[in-house]
Amino acid sequence: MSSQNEHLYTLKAGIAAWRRILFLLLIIVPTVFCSGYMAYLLPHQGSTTLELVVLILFTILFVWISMGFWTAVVGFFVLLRRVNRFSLPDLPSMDLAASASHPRTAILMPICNEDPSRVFAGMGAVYKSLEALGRREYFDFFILSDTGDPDTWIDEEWCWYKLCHLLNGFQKLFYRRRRINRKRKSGNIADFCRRWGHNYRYMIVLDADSIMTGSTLVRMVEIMEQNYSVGILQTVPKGVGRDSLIARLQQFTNNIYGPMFAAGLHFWQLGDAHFWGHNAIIRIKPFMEHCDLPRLSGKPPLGGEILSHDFVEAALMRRAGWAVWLAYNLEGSYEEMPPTLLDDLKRDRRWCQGNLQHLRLLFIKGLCPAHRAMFLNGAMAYLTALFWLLFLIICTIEAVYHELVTPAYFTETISLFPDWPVWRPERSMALLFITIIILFLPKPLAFLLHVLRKGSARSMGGAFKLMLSILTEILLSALFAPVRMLFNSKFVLLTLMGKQVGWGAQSRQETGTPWRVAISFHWGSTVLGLVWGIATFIINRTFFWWITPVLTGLILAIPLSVLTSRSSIGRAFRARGLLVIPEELNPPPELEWIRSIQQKLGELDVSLGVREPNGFVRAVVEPFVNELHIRLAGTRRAPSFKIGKRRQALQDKALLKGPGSLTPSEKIELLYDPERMAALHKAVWELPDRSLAATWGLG
Amino acid sequence: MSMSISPSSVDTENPRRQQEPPLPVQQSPAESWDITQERLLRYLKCLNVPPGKEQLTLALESLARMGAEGGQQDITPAAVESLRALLKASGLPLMSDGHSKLYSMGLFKQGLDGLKSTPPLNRGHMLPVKFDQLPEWMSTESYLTTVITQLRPLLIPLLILFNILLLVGLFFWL
Repeated sequence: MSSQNEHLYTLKAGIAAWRRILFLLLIIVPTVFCSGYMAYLLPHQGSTTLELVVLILFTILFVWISMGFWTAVVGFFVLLRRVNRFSLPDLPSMDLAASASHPRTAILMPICNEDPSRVFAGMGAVYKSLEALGRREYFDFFILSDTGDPDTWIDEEWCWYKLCHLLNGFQKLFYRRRRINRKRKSGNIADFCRRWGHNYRYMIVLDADSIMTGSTLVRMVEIMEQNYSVGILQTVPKGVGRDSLIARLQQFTNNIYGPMFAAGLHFWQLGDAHFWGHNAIIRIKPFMEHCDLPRLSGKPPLGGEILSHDFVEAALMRRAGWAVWLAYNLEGSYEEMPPTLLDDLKRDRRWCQGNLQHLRLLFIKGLCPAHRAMFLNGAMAYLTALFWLLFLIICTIEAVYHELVTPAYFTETISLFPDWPVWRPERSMALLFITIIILFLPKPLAFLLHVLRKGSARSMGGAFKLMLSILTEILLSALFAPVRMLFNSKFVLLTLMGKQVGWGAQSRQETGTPWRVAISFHWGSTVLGLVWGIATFIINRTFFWWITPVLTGLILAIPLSVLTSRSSIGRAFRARGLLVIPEELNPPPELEWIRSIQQKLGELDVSLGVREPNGFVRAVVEPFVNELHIRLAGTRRAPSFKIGKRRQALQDKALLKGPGSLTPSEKIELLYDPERMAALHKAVWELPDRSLAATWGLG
Repeated sequence: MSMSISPSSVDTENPRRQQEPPLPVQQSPAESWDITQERLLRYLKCLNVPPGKEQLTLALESLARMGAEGGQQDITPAAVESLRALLKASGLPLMSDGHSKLYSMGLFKQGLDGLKSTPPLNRGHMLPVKFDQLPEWMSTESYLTTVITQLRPLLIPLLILFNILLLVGLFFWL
């Protein structure tokens, strides 16, 4: 370890403790004060059961929003000050090419039933970026597939070949599909480590929709080389590349507030940071030694395979003595946002289950307190939604109860004074004001930060447009918040009730949400909002006005979901200079390359003659695709008599009834057998019957 | 380059395949020739052979090599087999550089022999770490699931009761 980095490491431990004590004080002191004030505002000062529950929920929620607030405020000052002695990307750069042994790095992209052309184009763009930098030779590129859909599998193989052909990337761009996707993404990466991990010092993990520039990748390797104690270095990916309104909203949020929150997180966490599963560099050796995850005891959803593996891997890496750092100011790291509210909610459901699983890992021996807090924090991200809903329900019950039931002034116990409930709604304005400050102050701070930074506001459409964009974001986020609260509460309850979620592919297509689908998902929110609103309006009008923001979001859930999923509306906002991000005005070449490579990959398919271009049919019919699949399948041991017989029956079924008669698992079984695929290819082309041949696209 | 796997050998090695009844075909000789012509040209199109003279020449040559008699019922399989044999003899369908003009996209100029999509294995191992996680009786899964499962049958009656109370409340209020 170099002296400079050793100094950084020893310095860190003491300072981190002080910073975290400060963080706790900043949260606890105002929370105690505000909770006490809340008790004072309640009619019985928190002495009834209902009020006590309200008070407890208020305290938990206040802690939660305070954490975000103080992280943002600290992040603001960190970014304002600019100089940060703990910022790893700010260390002087080194010339890797001049070093005696340049480390080998693998760039991994684990995928599962994604759009192959987008995935391979993304990897192609990363490849080109490194090539343009003259550093491509130090990196190898792996697309690790867990795809279970036979058509997508064949498309992936074909795209891999086309991309290698296009970039002359044979022996540099690799593709592997696992037969059994045990432990999902973490298992896929572990499988890579077992097979080829010894060939590399580092691996950089990308998501199917993420992309990083060549200079960022090289800089990450340099940082790892300079800091031998770092096990994982996580970048903060920016949202880019989407057109739908909700995705553009998230891209904007991500761009404007993201850096501030990330800098704040870095301030508290230092070397005990998050790993978010992608856009990060990992030191392979310690990862292989310490980060293979076991199954949790018990059944899913809270037992079984660990779903949100990344947090756990970071905690294990740290437990083994390796630091995990957040490179909050390293640019050139991007990802795409879910295109619709429903896609976003589906992703939330998966994360909810994964994060709730972490509650079981809170007390593992040897974990550093910061990572225990992170587990709790991850679970709280979803539990707070349920707490907020409960808080609103109990407040409603309390408000209705006090309107309908005459208070009992004289109780059975002997007392000199009557039990006189006192409402102090006028004084609640002070508490409301504090809450509004906590919730909304980070937004003007972010605005200020961009205005103060030279050229920053201009890169987002100018100061005035930026302000309008922030106001738009506040309005839309306020409308989305109750819908998310309701769904996240549902996800928490479903998970606790033992309902497991699938881990299928995330939709990355911007096709928009049809009205029918939105109604089927959101009708409950609308009905709840209407009933809640009408009841409170009739019974307790003052309370009705208090909860109007929540009711508005619930009632408008359906149109909100549909309209914000539309690319046309997102583009209209962009045309007016709203929610603009720097990458839209001045896109980096890597984002342009994705589109151009995707287009070129598509052009290579134009002249192929099969009418139904689904993957399995192409693998059977098209000579190139068939040959490629057979080659990639390699030589296999002859199947047993039983398996051979079963496959022969499948082959006959396919010939007699066409490809539509095969189920996906039957197609996969045939695809695993290169000999059957060769035989099928021959037999299909020789089919004398026109109608049968038509089922294979040869009519 | 020739294909390493011969489909015909696969079929002949499997006795069950030979026992299969032939597919029902009831076509006139003229129709058979139509299908054959269509199939040959489509096969060549799939190989990106440019339409026109080159496609037709190859198709004609394969028919000439087949030496089939006109009007034969199973003309299509024989013609396709003949075309494949012709292509194989001339280095197709996986062409060498000398025949690259047949491939407008330029794909498959190089042979697929030895093509691998993964590097050679360099085996290592990863052993799952052992967690001293919360015992099941203490875990959230255990007690929360139990409580919620027990409350589940009560959920609908509770909702109905809540609605009734709401209506009663409204009635008295109004």
